[in-house]
Amino acid sequence: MTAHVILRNVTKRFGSVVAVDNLNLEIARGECLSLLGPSGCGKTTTLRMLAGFEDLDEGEILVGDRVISSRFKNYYLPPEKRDFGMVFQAFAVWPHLSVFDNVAFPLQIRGLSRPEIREKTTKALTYTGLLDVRDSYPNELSGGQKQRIALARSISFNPTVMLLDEPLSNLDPKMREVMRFEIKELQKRFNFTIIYVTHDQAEAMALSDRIVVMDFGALIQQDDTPVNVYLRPANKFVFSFIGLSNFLAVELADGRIYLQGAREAGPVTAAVPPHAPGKPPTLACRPAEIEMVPTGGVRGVVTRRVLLGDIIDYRVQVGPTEVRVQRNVRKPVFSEEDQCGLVFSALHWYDESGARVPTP
Amino acid sequence: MTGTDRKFGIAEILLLFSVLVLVIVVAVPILLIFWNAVVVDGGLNIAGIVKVLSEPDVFQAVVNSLVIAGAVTVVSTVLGVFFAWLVSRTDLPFKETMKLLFLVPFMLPSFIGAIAWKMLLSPRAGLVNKWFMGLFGLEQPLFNIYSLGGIIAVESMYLFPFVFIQVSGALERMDPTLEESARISGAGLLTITRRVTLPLMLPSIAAGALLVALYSLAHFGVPAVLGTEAGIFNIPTLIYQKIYASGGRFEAIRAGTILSSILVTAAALILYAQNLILTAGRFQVIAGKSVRPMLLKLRGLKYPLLSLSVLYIAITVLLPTVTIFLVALLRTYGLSFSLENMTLHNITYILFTMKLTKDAIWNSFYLSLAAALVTMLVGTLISYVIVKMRVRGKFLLEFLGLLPFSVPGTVIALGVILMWSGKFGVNLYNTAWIIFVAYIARYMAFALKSTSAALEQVGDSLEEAARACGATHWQAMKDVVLPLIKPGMMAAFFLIFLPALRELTTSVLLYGPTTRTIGVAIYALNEDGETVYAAALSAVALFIIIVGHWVIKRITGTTKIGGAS
Amino acid sequence: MADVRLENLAAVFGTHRVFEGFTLTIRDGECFTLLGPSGCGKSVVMRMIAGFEHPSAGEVFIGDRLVSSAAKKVHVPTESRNIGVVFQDYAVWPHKTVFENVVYPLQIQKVPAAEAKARTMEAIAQVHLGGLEDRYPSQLSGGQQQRVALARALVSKPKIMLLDEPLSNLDANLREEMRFEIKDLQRRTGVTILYVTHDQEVALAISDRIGIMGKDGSLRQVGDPHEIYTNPGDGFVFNFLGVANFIPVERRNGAVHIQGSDLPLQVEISPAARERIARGEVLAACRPFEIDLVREGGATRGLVRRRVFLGPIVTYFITVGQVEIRAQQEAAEAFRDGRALEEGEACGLTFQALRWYDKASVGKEA
Repeated sequence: MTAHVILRNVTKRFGSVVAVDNLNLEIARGECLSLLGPSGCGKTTTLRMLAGFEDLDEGEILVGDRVISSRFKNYYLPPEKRDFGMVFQAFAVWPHLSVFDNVAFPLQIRGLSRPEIREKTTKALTYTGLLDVRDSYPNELSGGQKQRIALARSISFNPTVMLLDEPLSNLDPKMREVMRFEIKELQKRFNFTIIYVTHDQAEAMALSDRIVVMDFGALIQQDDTPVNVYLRPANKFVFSFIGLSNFLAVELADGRIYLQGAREAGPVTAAVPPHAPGKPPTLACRPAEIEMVPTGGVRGVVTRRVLLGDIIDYRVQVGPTEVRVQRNVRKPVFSEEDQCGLVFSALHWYDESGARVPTP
Repeated sequence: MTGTDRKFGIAEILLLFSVLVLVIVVAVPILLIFWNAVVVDGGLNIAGIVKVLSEPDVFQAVVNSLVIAGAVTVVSTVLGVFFAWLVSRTDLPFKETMKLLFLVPFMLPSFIGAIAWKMLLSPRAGLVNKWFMGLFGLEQPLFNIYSLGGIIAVESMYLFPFVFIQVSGALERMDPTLEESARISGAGLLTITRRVTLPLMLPSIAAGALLVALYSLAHFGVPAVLGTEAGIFNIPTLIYQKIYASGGRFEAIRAGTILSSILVTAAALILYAQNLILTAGRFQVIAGKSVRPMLLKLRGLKYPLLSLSVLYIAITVLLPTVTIFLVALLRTYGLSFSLENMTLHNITYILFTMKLTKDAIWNSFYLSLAAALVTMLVGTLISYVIVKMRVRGKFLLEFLGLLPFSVPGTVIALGVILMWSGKFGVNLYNTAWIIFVAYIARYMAFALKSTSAALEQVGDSLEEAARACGATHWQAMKDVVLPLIKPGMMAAFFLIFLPALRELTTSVLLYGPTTRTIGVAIYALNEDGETVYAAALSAVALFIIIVGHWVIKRITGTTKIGGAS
Repeated sequence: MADVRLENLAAVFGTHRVFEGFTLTIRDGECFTLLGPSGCGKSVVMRMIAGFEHPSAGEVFIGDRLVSSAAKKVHVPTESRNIGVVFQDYAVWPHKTVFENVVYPLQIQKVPAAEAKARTMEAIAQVHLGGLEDRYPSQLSGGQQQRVALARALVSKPKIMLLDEPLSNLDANLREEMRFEIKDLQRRTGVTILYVTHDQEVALAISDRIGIMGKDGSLRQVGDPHEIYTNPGDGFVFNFLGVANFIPVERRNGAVHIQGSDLPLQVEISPAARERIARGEVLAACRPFEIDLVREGGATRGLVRRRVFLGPIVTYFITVGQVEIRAQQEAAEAFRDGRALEEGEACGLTFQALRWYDKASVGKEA
């Protein structure tokens, strides 16, 4: 792939804390990449270094073949010269300017002629559905519209790179869904590269071509498509960060895997993953990927049943282990204290360091 | 809101009481002023108003007031914005200290500052002038403080913190992403300041500037000390002069009320304008999280600007204060400042011997204490009715409560004279009571503001939770509301006690032979030429004020900045 | 423990009519949730039971006791109703410690000090705050403060407990945890609970019975969670409880089609429903998971306009005729079994079940 944005050995320290530790990342032109991780993991710092609000301590950042920031060459391009679009979490639209003037601002700075400014601003407003309110002021508009102003303002000068810092967290769930779609549409139309920071895994999965899951120090845990990150998490951290999880201790006996302390319940599987002797890996599985049957399977007792709407959430006790299962409300319902059997379809294995063990 | 429990009349009784208090104490005096100004012998007399206003000294006083207020506003705004920006948006060193020092003028009465500047820059005897003339062998002084320029300069020094506080607070709380988004849109620092920061600061700047204008228009002390000698009068000083020169003649009082009406109208307009600006609504720029704003690196300018700031503080804060203390220790005014000429005698004399000053100190203390206590208690009650009670007619209270905020001390004093000098059968003139009543009228608004803010912090659910636990309405008040508003009530108390202690504008029109306040005593001593004693009492007053602020800070954990003087 | 009876309750404030003719019985010992969109008046109902508001009409009974009646000019004040209340903002007193907060009701009742202390410590232990009794609320987290409120509401052994959106200020994980704590507490103490919320997830999870209020203040349906969820009485309830498809239909040559679609709907439609379809009164309704998706065949054909992958499920927005329908597949099924559909692909839809609701009842909740 021809990389559009390159981060090479980027490191950032705040005092003795290493916020970003030797980060290497390449993003292709037109790609939508999410930086996903818990609060404080360094994803926002990374974004701010891309924007230029923070400068790196080591490494370099390039866009196209242009160096943006480099410690080797002692070069730093300030934010106002980087030509990026940026959308902030709290919208950051200027309350004293009308919608039109907000969107036209970057064009005015760039010294375009009046007719050109009008034309490009009108275009941006049209694409974001704000043409009708162009003379209104931000405080008269809703959260979703304010975010659209921010988007329009960023695309008005046709940037090649768009930086988005948790742009949807201040919106209600319905609006979030709408805006996700609109951002995607804008990207298709303008073909800019998006770097998106979020702690909401559902959002990352819905929007991105590629997700980079980060832990503290901006250490990359997995860099892959949303589907792969969900179906084949590279390690325990990613598995538990994305979606609900069960981590179950197991024991090995006569060539079969059993849940620990529950050999009478029946085997989980005969496909034993490779492991060091005496140290079986941990079994991880998603509550939605466990089938419950009346007879057969790994035997257990339903200890709790909660209706969540279209899903019923069960806790099933198998010996000393509690397993969480989620089933669609359409399927047959089990009551508390019922006996049931668990059938594990998708098994993930992780060794004691958290690394993924290949499924046999 | 607490529930619609029918307290069977208790709410209505409280409302009535509150309205009565505010009407008697606040509304009637002001109404009397307007009445007196406009009505003569039972009929409207507009022609008479015009005649009075066209008298040269009255006309000139109005012009002077406007000129002074206008100039002071401009100067204060420039100073306030510049220093606020310096302290909040650059990497100036020692920022926290500078911030504190810039706020000191708030604490000190400006008329004492005027006296100090008189000692420094009076054309013949001023220390700085004498030194300058001696140094260069000139006949002309460096600067004559008895001038419009002198008045404007001194007032600005003491009023610019209004703008400073508003603007630095707003700058620090402003959402930094508003400026970051401008940066990433391509704007450099200058453009950002011009097109984003300043426009967004406009409401704060305007709020501060309007407050400065209001205070300057209503101010007595500085023009009295520096202007009267040169025949420069503003409205408050002319009112004072007319009333005292005439000994209470009707025409003088009428001139006074006419001038007062102009003052009140101007003040009301200013507050209205401020209200418009603050509720414009568009300008919600405060960030939710506390994030550090963008700081400008001063580089080469850092130390020059720091020196400039220090110099400014040295000249405007240190110089006059030190002067007061030094002169207070002089055996006789005019002697040079050497150790043989220093003595503590002046201080001990005014504290323990001189009747005038001993009385004044005592009067000020007990009047301020009493006024603060009563105003705080009544204010709390009225605030409770406004904030927490669901009863028809509350809006009356809200309206009445805001009134005194805009009414200058001179006007209140005049109104109180009109009301309590025998008109309604009660004559309090020349007694301490009249000053007491005037203080309550003057400071009620502060008490209301402080206590209603505290009450609003106590969510209704806190009281309701107590009720649900079995507490009656009164138990809930006692166990939940009262403990939680205590800090607000204490704040109200100190917000009134300290300013009342040091004020001059109101008591100067109301004092009698035995009811001088500290401010009046200092002023009188200065007028009589007893400069050393004036300085000594000023020094004592400054000392009390500084200690008072320190005590407040310890008790309430915050620095209370008083405003009125 | 007592039941609560509301008879013909009305809340009319000047020209603002919140609700009228509201009648409901909350059974002794049950956990009842009043569920509805913001502004529907559910909090007002609760406040009337608590005594913070006076009903403009109607009567409130707690147990056998008439506590509020506009007509009979009866109003037992809040403090005499022996209730426990938990507020949305916790309403924990910041100037009192945890212990002082919880013991307060007992102090008001003049319970002897030793007994009061014992009961208070027991209540604090019940909400798992043991060891924190000398802390001040400002030193506690949101979840801990909420538990203080719970303990304080329970310590006087009230007949009924009123909870007003107590969990909405907590984050998702904590909400889940606290839900169960409240339910467990109720099971152990047997106190009657009225829970007021707009969050259908909480309502479904903890209630013995749910009452759904419409935006106009009317009580739309009352029943146990599973019953209400699987048999919503009208379009509003259906829409409120979860993601819903509302599908306009038309009659063509005696068969029922999705509006604009050429293929007839192949589902069982009762004669009564057919009549209403003929009169143009109803919309078809189903949940996204009640639709099976295939590439070839299927009862009806459509075009995949958009696909959104969210983790456990993949959501599809499919155009059928003039209508956009939301359907889903489980992620494993879609990607492991290779049955995922691409955007722009044609597909087949088979409806497991269709409900029929009056067009008028499909209100938009806030």
